[in-house]
Amino acid sequence: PTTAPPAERFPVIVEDFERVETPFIISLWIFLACLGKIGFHMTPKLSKVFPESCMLIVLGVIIGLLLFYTHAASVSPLTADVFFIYMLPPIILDAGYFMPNRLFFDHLGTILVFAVIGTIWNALTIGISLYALNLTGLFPMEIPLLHMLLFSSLISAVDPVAVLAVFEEIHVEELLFILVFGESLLNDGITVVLYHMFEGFSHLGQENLILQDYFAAIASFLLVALGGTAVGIVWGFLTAFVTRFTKGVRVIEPVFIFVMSYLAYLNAEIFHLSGILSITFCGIAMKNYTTRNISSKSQTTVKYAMKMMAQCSETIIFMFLGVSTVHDDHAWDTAFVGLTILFCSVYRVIGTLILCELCNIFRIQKIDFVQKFVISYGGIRGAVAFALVLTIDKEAIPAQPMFVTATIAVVYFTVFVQVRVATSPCLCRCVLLRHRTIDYLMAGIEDIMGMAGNYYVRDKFKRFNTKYLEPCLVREAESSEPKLLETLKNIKMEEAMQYMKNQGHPPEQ
Amino acid sequence: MGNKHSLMLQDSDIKSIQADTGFSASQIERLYSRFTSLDKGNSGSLSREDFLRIPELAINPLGDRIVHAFFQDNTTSARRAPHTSDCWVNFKQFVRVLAHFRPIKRNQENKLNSREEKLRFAFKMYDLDDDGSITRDEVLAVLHMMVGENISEDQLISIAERTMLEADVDNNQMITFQEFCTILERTDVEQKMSIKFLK
Repeated sequence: PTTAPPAERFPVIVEDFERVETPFIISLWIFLACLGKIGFHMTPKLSKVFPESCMLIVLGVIIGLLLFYTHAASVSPLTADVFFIYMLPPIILDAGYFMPNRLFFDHLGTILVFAVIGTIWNALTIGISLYALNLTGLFPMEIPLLHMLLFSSLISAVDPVAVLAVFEEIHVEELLFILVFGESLLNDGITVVLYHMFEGFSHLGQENLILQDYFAAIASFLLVALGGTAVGIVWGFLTAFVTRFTKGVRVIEPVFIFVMSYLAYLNAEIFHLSGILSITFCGIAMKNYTTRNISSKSQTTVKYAMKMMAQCSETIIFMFLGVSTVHDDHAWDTAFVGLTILFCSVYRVIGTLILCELCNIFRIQKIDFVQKFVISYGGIRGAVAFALVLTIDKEAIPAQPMFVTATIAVVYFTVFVQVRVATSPCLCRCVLLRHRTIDYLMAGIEDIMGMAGNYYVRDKFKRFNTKYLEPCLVREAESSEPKLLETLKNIKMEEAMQYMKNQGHPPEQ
Repeated sequence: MGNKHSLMLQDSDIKSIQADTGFSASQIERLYSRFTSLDKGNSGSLSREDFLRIPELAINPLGDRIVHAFFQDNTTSARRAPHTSDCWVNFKQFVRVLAHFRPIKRNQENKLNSREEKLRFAFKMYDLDDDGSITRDEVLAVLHMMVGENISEDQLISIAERTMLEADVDNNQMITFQEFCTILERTDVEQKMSIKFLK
């Protein structure tokens, strides 16, 4: 007779891993990454020789090997979507929000030359050279020109994550920092366009391309870059506008800043505009207004939360890069990998030299030899290239495994093989008070000479800003010189803190 | 408008200005055409009014000081040539002042655009009574020029005092040119106070 199953008693303990699997694993990843970071900083010898990013990749590879040989999980966690939607935005927002605006706009011309012309130059030269060598039958398979250009376009972009990670650690002087860093942020526009362009071209097939397609590609570049920037600026101003009304609800101030800039990013990505440009400019546009609207505690929260998220993201990206290296379908081809690395470095150097000469014609402060060297060395490739290469469709482009392997090799090469250049930038506090005098002075001289230079444009923008923007975006527009007051406030705050600290100590007995 | 034939720039003038300021001949010609367009009275020299007719300059908070600097430089050279009138700037003087803002090139030294001369020009913006030192009141006055209405007098005074505290090393209530240079030691004056003159 069929007996009823034994009546279930109330269990003392149950195991239900599936329910928490995803968040648990994510937390574990973050935990491990941060542990690695602590460990790295506790061994002073190690941290002197290697940049942190190298250690994280190595840690990732070790974990990857463990997972691979124990078959515990056959995941390579760094998918393109995870990367672009969750991990990249915090880093870029952090960069944009704390961007030294002044420095950035002073050197915008040079940065744009590097980001636009430099990236196109790299993509074309690397792609065509590899294609030419391929014609001689050096590589195991035949790769059409367009596929090769698709690869070269993703490999030629300097990666903001890696550049930040490395350059923040070694403290280069500010001119170098802003040039390489600005380039890495802005060349995203170009990379995304070139990538989508060659992908589209590959689908169409080389023989079907007509002139119209090329023009469409150029138009799409302008749209992607400028559209992304515009979306970012609009969201930035919106954020500033919203924070104008948060006086009663101070705790949600950081939320607005984070969520609205994230919306800017996603909003740009919806239309395949450049999300990186969008969130960068969102950060740049809102900063001046939000810092004056939100309370100083919220400011601290924003600062630390942003730094924390960016650091976590960065840490995880490098680790994931390591983990994702360990998998089955590598297609190693020594000639292809070697030549890719060679071309990447050589064309980077040649491009930098040419472009620096070009910029030097127009620059007051010339880029000297050492700086040229550091800029070309700053061409670090990273996770953006890796994420892009993963999104290539294997069906349409048969050489994809080879591309993946080569990309990983290039990333490793550029992250591990670097020199340490150390000169620290310094800013004196009170000098800021004087900078504005010099600005006014220079604007005046430019007016006398009747030319529209840098200072003229800055002066015009400042006027427009104080007259129209600030009254809308800032709760209490204090004066035409908010920077002056801010400096004073900071100095006083610092002094007060110092005073409190000294007083706070228990008196010696 | 055109140049009056009597005001045309002679080759020999260009040569001497070139030697004096380090501008190239084409830069001088360009500046000359700007000079003549500013010179509404076609008198071959500029008055304060000529300068202040430039709309942007008129609303520049330091506009007055900048114009003043042109004339003040004039008076120092007037010590050598006492006949030059105090309230007109001729083309040579005009170019001499602008020469302070030429970018510094490593291999061609010129006394007018040296770091020290640039700093001296900035110093003049503050030194209202031209006595070679900046007092607290002068700092305050410049702050008044730059800052809008809605900042309180107390705050301005506190900024001025703070500036004095930081800059006035020997505590004599004055910032001398020496002290001024010291606080700006780490500022990239060469870059900040240079203009790319069109060829």
